[in-house]
Amino acid sequence: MTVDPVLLIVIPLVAAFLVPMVSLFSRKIASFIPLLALLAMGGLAGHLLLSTGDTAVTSTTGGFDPPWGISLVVTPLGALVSAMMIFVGIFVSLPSTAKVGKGYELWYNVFVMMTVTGGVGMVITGDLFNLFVFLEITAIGATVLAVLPRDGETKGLNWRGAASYAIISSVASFLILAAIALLYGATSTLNMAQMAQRAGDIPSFVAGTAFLLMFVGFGIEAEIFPLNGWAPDVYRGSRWGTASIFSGVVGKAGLIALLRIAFIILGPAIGGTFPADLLMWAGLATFIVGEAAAFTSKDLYRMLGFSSIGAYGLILAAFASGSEMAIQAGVLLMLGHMLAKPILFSMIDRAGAGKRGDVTLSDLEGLGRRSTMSGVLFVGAALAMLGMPPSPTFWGKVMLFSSAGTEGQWALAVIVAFGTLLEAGYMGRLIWKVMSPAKEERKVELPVLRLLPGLVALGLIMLIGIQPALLNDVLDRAAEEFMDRLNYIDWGGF
Amino acid sequence: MEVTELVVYGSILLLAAVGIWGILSRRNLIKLILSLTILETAVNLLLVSVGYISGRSAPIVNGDTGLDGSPIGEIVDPLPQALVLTAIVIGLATTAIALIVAVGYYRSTGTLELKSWSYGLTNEKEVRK
Repeated sequence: MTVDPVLLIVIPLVAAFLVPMVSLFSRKIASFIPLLALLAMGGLAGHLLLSTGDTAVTSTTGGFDPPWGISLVVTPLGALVSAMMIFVGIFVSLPSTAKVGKGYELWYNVFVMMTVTGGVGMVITGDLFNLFVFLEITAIGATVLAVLPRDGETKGLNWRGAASYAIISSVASFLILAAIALLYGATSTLNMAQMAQRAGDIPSFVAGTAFLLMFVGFGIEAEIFPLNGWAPDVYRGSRWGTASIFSGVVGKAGLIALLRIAFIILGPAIGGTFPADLLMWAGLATFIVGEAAAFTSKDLYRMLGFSSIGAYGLILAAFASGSEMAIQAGVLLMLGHMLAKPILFSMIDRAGAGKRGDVTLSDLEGLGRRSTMSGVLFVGAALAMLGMPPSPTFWGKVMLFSSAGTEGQWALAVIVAFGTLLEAGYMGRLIWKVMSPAKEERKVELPVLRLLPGLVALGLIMLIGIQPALLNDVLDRAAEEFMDRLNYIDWGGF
Repeated sequence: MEVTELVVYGSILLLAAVGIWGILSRRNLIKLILSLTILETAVNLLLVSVGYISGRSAPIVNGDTGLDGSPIGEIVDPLPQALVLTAIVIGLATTAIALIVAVGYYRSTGTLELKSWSYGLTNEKEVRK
């Protein structure tokens, strides 16, 4: 029996209502609610991932058949990405669950849960207006997370970064809403599968306008160059969990939504290779700009933030370059990034603990000597980001290169190689500092609640790196989803 | 194109242009949020105009007919009206969050003008308080 995917939305919403009420009696008990909800969601998403098989798990809310009710369409890719987002959520809220009642920890956990819910909703929904609603949930949650200060202190709130994000993400959602209105006007449906089926009815200028609006809107959320001016402000002043959520949940959800709309719904209505070309070149530009900016950054949060922007660009370029192998590479790159980035942010937070202001390269000095496990986690995650085997990123990059070779996309191969060199430059510096002897003997604390998720993430990276065949089914289905629109239409019940 | 349509689509374009111009040209948080709500109004107007069909009756069913005895097939599309309600409520929430951030920014910096990012900007005032 398959569980109803709507529980992925219902559980956290109920939990979010419970928290303020329970916190009147006991903040301690209340602070466990978001974590428990995330764990339940994780179990559900894992179950869905195993039960999607050849098709998608669908759910129609209220028993109204599509297109009348809102339907959820959990494709195998959707289930995988949801599970990863929930994992990132658990990763970042575990350590603060131990510090209950202090500063903003409770609200931090609640908003981590809500942002993850929004992201999961964006990935599993089969309804365009519902997508907009989840986008807003994500944006509101992420704005609050962006404000919250490092280490749950009450000082040093990042109002500046949050202001940038609040304004720009609202603009993004209004543009997306305008595009949804245009598409509804042309197809008289909001169900994504049915809209894809009726794509032929959309006049090409409406499709083109809607695509550009969606590109700008979701491009802002997915930190695509040149729409990512807000991102450095957010990354620089945020706590490590917020940075991980922005790089692992908010943008990833936007990216998948953009890809579905571009390739499944609007592709044939616009015709030609324009959408794919625009997305691929935007992706490559983002990759190079992000990696170059990371290379020159002093503050480590900013550096890793730019590195996330680069990763988004690479993933977008892989999906947009169009071959089956490249799409599978995109999924692997996404997976590798979502597993490795939270470890890096978490370890940078350890290295700069108790420090006000920028965390720089010198704070990392001797991290590996001061705390062996921190060093192991950091170096492991940094190598995995770079694409050293065994890691999903390694297979992703190998497949991307071989796809570029067979398709004759030499520009893609050259740009990816150059970007990887830049990446190796700054990651190498970080690793070097971590391994070098410590000048000061300041101890680095690594509580078990922080060590544990890091080890699990590193273990998953190595497992997928050694046994990529485990994911073969999901990767095949992901490629089918984007290569042949009829699959999604069929999965959605049309 | 009828005069009504011209007025509606003209207002949508005008409002959207004003909103986007405001967002691009202002650095004051309150003015930015005002521009956002103007842009939002344009989008809501677009959403509701999508479902409007000139000359048809309100989407209220009275037995077997529309409200004023017109055939049931001659009512306007009710869905965009439901959507626009949802969109307005969501817009209220995002505006509230943006205003909260504006208040926080003002308290920590003493200004509503967005300046380039720095730690000093955010921390000093709070410490002094």
